[in-house]
Amino acid sequence: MTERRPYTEPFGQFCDILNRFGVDFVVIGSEAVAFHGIPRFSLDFDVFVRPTTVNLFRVKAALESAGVTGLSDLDPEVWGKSRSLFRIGEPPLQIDVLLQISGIDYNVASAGAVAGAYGDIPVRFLGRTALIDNKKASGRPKDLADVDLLTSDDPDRTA
Amino acid sequence: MAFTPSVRPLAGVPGRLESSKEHWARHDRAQLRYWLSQPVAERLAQAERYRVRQLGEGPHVLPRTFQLLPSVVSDEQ
Repeated sequence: MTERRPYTEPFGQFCDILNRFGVDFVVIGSEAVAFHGIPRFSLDFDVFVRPTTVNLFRVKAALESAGVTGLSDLDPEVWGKSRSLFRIGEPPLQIDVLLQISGIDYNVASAGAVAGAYGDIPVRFLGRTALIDNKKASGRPKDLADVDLLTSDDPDRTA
Repeated sequence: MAFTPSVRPLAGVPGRLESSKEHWARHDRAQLRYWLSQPVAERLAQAERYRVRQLGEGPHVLPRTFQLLPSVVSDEQ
């Protein structure tokens, strides 16, 4: 039961570019669930970024560098205040850049984040406790299913 | 920012701001639309890989949340 989700190259390259631009971010969602031992299938890649203006300028520069279009009207100051999320692409290659998530403040997410890697790219994943709190706060059936699996006592499940 | 990547992994891919409400209203529907566009054999194979990954070969006891989910696919389908 240690099989991991397959690596998707554009997602890894995206993380590499975020790192190179010094973006403060944490990988959340299904990739974080997979990191904690539950490799469920998903068609998107979610990152939680620190919602400060300075960091959002870095995010915008990284997105421009990655080739994303539709950035001309993206004002980091306005974006930070709106707390809207930025969606890139469509399934099966969709990336969601979030400034807020259910139940968890960025400072808490960052403090409890765990160093890991997506492919060969070093990233930080949302910690297990914060992930469970986030999933409980989201409350959708598939999130509650993730909570069941993350909190199960299966000895074969890797942390 | 002097860094210029050797590859532009998202070249030409559009991005847009969305409110949380707008985003989650379309999120699962967009994923479902993608899956329904895939061949049935691919969808069934993925579902089987998912089952084995999550629960092992069995026999096993389903967690509470899965027990509450109704079956949506019959043998005939």
